[in-house]
Amino acid sequence: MKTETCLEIQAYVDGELDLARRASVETLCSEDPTARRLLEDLASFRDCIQGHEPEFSVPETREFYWNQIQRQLKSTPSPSAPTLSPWLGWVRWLVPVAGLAAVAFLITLPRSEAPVSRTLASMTPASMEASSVVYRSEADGVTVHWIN
Amino acid sequence: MSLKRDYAAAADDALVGWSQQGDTEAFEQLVFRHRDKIYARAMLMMRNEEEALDLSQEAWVKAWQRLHQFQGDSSFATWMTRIVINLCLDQIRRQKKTRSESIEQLEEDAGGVERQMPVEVINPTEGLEKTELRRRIDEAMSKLTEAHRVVLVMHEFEGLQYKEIADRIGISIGTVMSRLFYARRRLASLLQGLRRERTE
Repeated sequence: MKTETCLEIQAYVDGELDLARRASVETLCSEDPTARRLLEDLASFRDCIQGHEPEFSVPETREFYWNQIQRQLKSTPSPSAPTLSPWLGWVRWLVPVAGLAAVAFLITLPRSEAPVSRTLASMTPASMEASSVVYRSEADGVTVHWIN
Repeated sequence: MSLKRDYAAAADDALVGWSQQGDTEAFEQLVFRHRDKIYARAMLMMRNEEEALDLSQEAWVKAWQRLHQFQGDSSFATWMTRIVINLCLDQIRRQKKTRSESIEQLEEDAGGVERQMPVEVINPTEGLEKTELRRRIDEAMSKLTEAHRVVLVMHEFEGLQYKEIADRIGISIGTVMSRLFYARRRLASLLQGLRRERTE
């Protein structure tokens, strides 16, 4: 039997073939007793091995084994806190702070081109004819007309 | 005031959750529960007690470092065995750099050895007790070449498919199939020999 055929039968036993190739192996095994025997032996051998994995026990006491691991864990960060580089740590804080600063800056931007000042209030005669005085505060957005 | 955690009675999932919060006592319980399985897997791969011990401990340290990545898609034991298998493969790769491949392995990769072997695969384990069978399988596996043993362990005991094995080792699927076939036949032959020795 060709090596390729043996490997195909093995792949059948291991559940690695698609439907068409499975059918092809089944046909072969129904016609060739050597192929069928190989399939049966491989299946039987696989079942036998899989249920009987050799067992080994750690040749050290629980405490000694754990202590060696624990010593290494002490130099390892806690799993719940994945480590960030110092730079990334700063960036994490800087992003929201910078965002807030930008929003605050936008809010305080003047709405007109005129300079804003709480003390900036002017009293100007509106017109000579009306004999009135206008009080205007840019900062408070208030305009008062005083008519005599 | 927090309730005292009952580590011994807790399920793996709970222990993993506590460990993810940094609880080393919970992690110690996981180590205690699964240490033999992890060590056994390393022993099967390496066939060297000292190396297996070191690699199994390294696997636990790696697990602690990557615990936040464990999502519970597989059992914790399966996740752990994958870690130790990867560490063993890394170690084998490092060792391979310092030594050349054996002639037997080169012949096998070319398909030479299979052609010389009889097609018939016997079942040499029939009628044996479980403990005796495990012992014989272990004895026979120690006589396999590293390349064949690794593929056999990854397929039969780790339950990996051809493609996964090929990807992890860095060989073709064809080579995986060839090595697996050879390993099975060699193992069957070795077990048959052991059986004959004991009955004589």
